[in-house]
Amino acid sequence: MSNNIFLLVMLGMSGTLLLAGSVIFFYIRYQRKFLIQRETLQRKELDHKKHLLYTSIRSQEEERMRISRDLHDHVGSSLSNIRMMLGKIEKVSADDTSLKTIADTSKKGIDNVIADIRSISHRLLPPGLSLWGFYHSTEDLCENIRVSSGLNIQLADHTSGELQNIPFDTALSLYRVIQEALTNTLKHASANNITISLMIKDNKGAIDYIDDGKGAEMNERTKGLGMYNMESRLSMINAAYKVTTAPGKGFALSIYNIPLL
Amino acid sequence: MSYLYMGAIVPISIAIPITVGVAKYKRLDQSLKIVFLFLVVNGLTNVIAKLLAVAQVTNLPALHVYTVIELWILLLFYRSILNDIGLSRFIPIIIIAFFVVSVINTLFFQSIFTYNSYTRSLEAILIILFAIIYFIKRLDKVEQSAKGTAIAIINSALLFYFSGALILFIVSNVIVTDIKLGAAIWNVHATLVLLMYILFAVALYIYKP
Repeated sequence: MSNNIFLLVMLGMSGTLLLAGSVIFFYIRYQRKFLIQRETLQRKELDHKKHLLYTSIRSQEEERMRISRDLHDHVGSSLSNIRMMLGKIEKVSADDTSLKTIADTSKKGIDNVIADIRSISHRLLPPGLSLWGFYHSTEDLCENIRVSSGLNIQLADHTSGELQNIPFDTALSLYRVIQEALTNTLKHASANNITISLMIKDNKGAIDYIDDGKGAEMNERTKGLGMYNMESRLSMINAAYKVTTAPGKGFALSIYNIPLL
Repeated sequence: MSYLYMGAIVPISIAIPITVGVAKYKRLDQSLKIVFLFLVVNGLTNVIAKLLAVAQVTNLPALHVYTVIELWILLLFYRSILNDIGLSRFIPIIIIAFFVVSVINTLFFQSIFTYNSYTRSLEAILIILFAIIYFIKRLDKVEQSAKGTAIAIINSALLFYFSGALILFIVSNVIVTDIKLGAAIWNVHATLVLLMYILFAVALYIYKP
């Protein structure tokens, strides 16, 4: 009799425990499923945001190219024509000193405007990037900044030219990142020396950018728009980066994992 | 041997979650402090029950009082974790109603010298309901924090213990006459209690504010 009661109690207990276990199991399973769904949704949202960002960067570059071409081809040639006309006026009015002075002054003004337009056009689209490749365009950029700012900029290529033949989009992104880094150093760092080294690590490209400026506290809050732009451009080409900086300790940007093909 | 397990090892094992609770008490939030209070009251009841047993005095009156206090503490725990205004208003009414039912049960149905199987069973059903309500309300709110996991473990422990013990509470007065059967069944109950203590200790250990 007592054996039967024990068996019945145990059976009843097993039933209720099984039910409780099922509730717990269902809860854990549902939560996992929900978590996976939420993560998938978040990943899709992130991918969509990235896609929007990349599209915006690409259209920005296309717009820059268009403006650069328009400035160079249309505005530049129109100004050259006006300059020629002024040259003719100068010749025709050889006896009129005051008119000659006006034409001469105007020509000098136009020369300045043409130089400015060329400079703006080059900044908008590095002219040599598609012709001479990444290294020479970067060298050109460094040279321009060296001349205008007096900074000592060392650009060293430790590769065997692998970074010269990288796809145009990759080259343009890296060029913009270095341009942004140089602008930041000029604006904020009070540096004297900048070293840029191009390398190959694990069959991927790598770039080290180091300045000896005053450095800065770097965290998510203090990151500027420039840093976010660099991040976006590097993630666009699937490259990784690391920033090392602290007040009084300069600034170092390590870009690695750059695809060569 | 079975008495050692049921009468000594399992009651003493409550020291494990209490020790973890003491070590982390300052960092515990309100709901976990209520769980700690539950463990302390449970531990004190174990001590009182043991002292009364040693003095050869029945400890069943203590169980009648403990049942009301246990439900009160556990419903306070559910009020703190459910964050539901409707249920929060309802919980004090349940506590008072349960107290009234317990008094009526003691006065008219099961004296303080009898096992209070009706109120113990009712308490188990209420806790099972609240444990299931908690799971339902948290279904689409994935909690990846240590606190969320700790609360889910405590809720699972309560659901598991009271579901298993419900049948024992219901038949407890039937089996009381058969000492051998009673010992066997209460040993199973002791295992459920031990499992609950271990899960409480794990929950308190992994908890982070």
